[in-house]
Amino acid sequence: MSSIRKRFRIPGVPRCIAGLLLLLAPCFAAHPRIYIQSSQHIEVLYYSPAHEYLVTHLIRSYENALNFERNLFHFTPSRKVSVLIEDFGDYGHGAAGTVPSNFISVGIAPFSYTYETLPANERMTWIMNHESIHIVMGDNANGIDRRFRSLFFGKVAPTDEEPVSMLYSSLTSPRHYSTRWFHEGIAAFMETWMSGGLGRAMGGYDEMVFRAMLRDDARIYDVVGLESEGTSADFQTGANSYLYGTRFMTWLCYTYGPGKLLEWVTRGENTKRYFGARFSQVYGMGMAEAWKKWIAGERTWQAANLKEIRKYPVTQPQRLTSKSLGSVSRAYYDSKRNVIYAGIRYPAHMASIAAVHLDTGHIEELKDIKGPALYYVTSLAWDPRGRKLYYTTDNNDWRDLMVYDVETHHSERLLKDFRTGDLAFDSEDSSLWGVRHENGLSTLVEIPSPYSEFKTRHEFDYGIDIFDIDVSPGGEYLTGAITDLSGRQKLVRFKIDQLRKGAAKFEVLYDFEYNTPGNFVFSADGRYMYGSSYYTGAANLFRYDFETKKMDPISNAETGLFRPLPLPDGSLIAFEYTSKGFIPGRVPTQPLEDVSAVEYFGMATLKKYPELKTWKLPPPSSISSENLVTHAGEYKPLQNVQLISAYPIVQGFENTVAAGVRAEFSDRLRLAGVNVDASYSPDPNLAAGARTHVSFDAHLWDWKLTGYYNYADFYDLFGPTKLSRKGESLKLAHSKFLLYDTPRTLSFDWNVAGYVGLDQLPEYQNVSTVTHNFFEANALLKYANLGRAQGAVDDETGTKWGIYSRIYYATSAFPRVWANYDRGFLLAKNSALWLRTSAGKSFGDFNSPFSSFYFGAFGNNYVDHQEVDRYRDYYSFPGVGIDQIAGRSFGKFLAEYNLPPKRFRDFGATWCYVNWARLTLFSSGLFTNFTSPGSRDYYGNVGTQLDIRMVLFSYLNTTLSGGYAAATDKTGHVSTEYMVSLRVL
Amino acid sequence: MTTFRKWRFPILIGSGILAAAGLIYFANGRINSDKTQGAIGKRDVYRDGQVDAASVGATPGTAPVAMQTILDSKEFKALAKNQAFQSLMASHGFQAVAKDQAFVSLLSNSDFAQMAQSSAFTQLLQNSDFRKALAQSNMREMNAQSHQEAQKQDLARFDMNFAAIRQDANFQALERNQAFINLTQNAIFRSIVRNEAFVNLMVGSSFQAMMRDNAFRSLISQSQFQNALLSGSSANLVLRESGGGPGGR
Repeated sequence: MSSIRKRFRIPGVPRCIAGLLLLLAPCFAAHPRIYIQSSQHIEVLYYSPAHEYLVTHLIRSYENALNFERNLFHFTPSRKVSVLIEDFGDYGHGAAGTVPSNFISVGIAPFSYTYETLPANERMTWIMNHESIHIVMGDNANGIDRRFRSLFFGKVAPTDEEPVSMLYSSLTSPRHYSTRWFHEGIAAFMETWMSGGLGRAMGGYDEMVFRAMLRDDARIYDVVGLESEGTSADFQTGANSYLYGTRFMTWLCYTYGPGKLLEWVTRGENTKRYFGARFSQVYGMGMAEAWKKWIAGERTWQAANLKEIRKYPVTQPQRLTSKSLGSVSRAYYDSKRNVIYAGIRYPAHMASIAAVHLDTGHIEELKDIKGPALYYVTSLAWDPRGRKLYYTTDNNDWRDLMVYDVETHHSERLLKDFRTGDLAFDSEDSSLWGVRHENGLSTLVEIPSPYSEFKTRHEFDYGIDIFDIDVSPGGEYLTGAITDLSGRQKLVRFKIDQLRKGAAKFEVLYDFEYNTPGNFVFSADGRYMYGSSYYTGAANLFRYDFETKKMDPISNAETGLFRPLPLPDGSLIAFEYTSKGFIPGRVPTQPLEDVSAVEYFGMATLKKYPELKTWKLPPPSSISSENLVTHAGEYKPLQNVQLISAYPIVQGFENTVAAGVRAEFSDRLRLAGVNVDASYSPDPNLAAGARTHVSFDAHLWDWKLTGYYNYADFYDLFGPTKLSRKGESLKLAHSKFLLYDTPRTLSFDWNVAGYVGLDQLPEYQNVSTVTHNFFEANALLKYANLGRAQGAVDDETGTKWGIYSRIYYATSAFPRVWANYDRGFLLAKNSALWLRTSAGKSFGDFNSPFSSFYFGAFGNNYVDHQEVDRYRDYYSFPGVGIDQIAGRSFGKFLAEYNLPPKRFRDFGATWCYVNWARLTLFSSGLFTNFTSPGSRDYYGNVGTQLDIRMVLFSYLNTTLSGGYAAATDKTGHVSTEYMVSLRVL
Repeated sequence: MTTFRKWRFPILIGSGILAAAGLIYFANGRINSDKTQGAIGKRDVYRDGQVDAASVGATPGTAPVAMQTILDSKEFKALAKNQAFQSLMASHGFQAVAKDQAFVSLLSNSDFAQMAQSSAFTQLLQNSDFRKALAQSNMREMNAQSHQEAQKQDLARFDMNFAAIRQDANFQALERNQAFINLTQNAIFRSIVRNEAFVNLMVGSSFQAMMRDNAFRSLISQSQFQNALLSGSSANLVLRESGGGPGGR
């Protein structure tokens, strides 16, 4: 014990790192090797050699974008941008951050081209164009920002452990604190021009979304309502940040010119720190006012487009359901039941495979889909003879192949992580075809019955992707949409027998140029293919005739028609886009001769400001690859740990105030790092040995080492819960996922800790101990399978359980075990009922404080950073004081009802607004010492908690909670408790 | 009459020109305009995305940086001087099979690792009846069945499909070995066993020797090494006799 004390009294970074090296050496071999290649301004990290082929191209793409951004935004990166190449999902994506360091994550899989929501050109360049704009917006600094960065040794990341970091963070990275629509809007706007018009400012889907809003007389969210409701309760959720942001930026450019737009978004000298204030500075009006003007302008623009479409007879689908299905997958018709099957996803419901009854319009939800995709929901295929639906789960990760029997309602997983979608069923031999994504490449695969393995039929070159495949009724041909590096797309046809022989020569049925051939499927007789395309600007249905080899439009849609479903009788069902999602309807199949073109707002902007064409970047190959890479090799996290930032802090210690400093060290990938807090309480009432406070937490991969000397905590300044402790501690912890199949996870954690000189137990502030030095060991097995429907503010359904064991060793051993099991049920309108149970038993000398569990109170501090709903924890018991109830064994049951959340559309301004409020009612019963008849006790309580979610600085989630509970014991004594808490971050 | 005769040709020619002009006007006017009656309007949208493969230069298959890192790893250095390893990496048979995803997947399969060290198994692999039996038998779902039940069926399956080799001593030695049973049910193995190059590799002494080497098994379990194999880089793992470094220096 003394050795721990001696070692720990002189904390320091080298010592901590040395301790880590010593303690964690055995874990090195268990983790993947990471490689790095860097140029002057970027370093690319990757874990798989199979991804290395993209590295040089990514570096050139970024350097190319930076050359442009340097001129346009007067941007110089504060430090190299770290780019992580990953292949954790089956569809490509990117993400960027600038706090505390510049970081881009690139998911290298091919994009999802559903509904033409994304362009189909070469995606690494396109991603770097988009993400590099995020870096510019967040990292660009003027002289004042740079001085703060220098003062704090870098850009400060906000941390809930030290909330003052929020202030420092806003000083070092002011433009980081902008709304999401701002960041995504400017990135999508710029990506369009940097890529030669291939971006969302010139996208057919974006144009349709706003045209549908006008046609349906739907709400166009205002600047606050978009963030508070539009990005969570609407069926498009977070995509609305992109849609609205891009549109607003384009409108600003169209109305006031690109120069003004750049003036606003560029952080230069003498510019206001906050993006909203800078907006007023540049445009001479508030952002809310400008937003209103844009909405008015948008209505005028879309009215003109609708008028143009209505010049000719409009296709009015004969709707089959009264309400929207939200997002939909490819659909199939079951003649036996007269239903269509589709994957659907709409607010307040779990995504599911559904049967839409054509005679009644009833939507029958058959089976929840684990891990639905935002737009395509799931890849679905139908075996009409076997009466089985094949579908994919984990659509945002690595997809599994599932089968659902529509007769028995039984579902089963056939292939795990097979990474294949775009399923098509070949009725001739019952094989499935699909498109597999791996290592950034598209591969055509066949999955023969009984679907236990797949066969690779053709792997396409990088940049050539195939999607929306179908098999002809006779099983002779496979069709699909193929896109190339330039973004041109064709409807093509393969001979299946040739594919099986390894020959992937295809016949081009129709060249759609830069338009996506959407979901072309065969008619029952095989003569036609039906699909959709934005050829006219609106997404219309087209019919390809194999006899005449002609492609004819068959609709004149006001918004857009998608996913045509030819029925055996020759009629056609298609899904009409509405402001609430897709609605199936019957549509005619006759070719049309008169369909007007829709004008895109992005194109009108370009016509007004042709200089936008000069923003197109030269090809990445214009960056010479000679001497481009300045360093290549293995990336070792520990060797790359560096000081991220350091700043002053304030903490609380036993009712006194301490001042000090926090320093954060980390590598670029956050795989290794250590945070150190050191502070001093000048209060003379404290013993001299208790005035200095030091704590650290270090991590390497999934290992963690923490320790303290007279632990102080910011939240102890506010009480009533106190985490500060006199004494010393050193804890080693390890976490491991035994199952990681989100949302299903099973983890095993363990930790060992030593304590020296403690006056209170580590977990129980009001329980004193006369044994000041002791050890503790914990082992935790935790399982969770939780779900939430669109529009949720919390988990709404599923199961969670845990088995926990702990042993204290002081003068003797005090083991204990406890467990919990929670089950939730989704009810109407995002409300939920939860039943939570827990039970435990401790052993050892019953007179020792180590041998009891302690219960009591809500547990929230006035200002807090832990979970808001702490009344759910097994040790919480609102209505009585903290740690007031003790028991050597316990059983607890809690029932809670979460009422539907109320969302606020216009409550606040962009820098601070109220997002939602949610009321919960709960009641629990607690039984203690049930193994000892003499000391057996029971308690009951009822309570309520109101949580109000706010967003500060446009970015930081904050929750104000208020609660009240009344509790009673077996004597009938009633006590009450009020709780008010502000949770930051 | 005379006047008409005099002007009849100019009138005819003029009428013809007018008719032709009219035809051209009406025919082209109806097709080319985006927004005139009787036409399918095409969206007017700026797209300048011309990119060719050469300007991207992203060709899968090579990973020189990762390869160099492997060569610098302690696992590799421990193996580098092993003659069997050198021989294996240099063999064309191994280089060919190592590009097969199925083979690389098998390398980290514990049943395969165990069987690859068994001389009974490698001898059995040379028996064409055994390979034929494997190819002819159907795959069966294991998921829903208990282990015991599965094991019973495995034996039954051997009875049915493996009759021709039931008297084979190697088969008899292995038929109750759980790793052998598992491997014969492994779809990847059943698929790759049809590959003659794979069988030749399995029966070769270099591969058997290396599969008994802990350092080699550790190396092949690493994803970066597996990816190096898949990318066709196994030949680069051969040290040149000069000792100056990996092949290709």
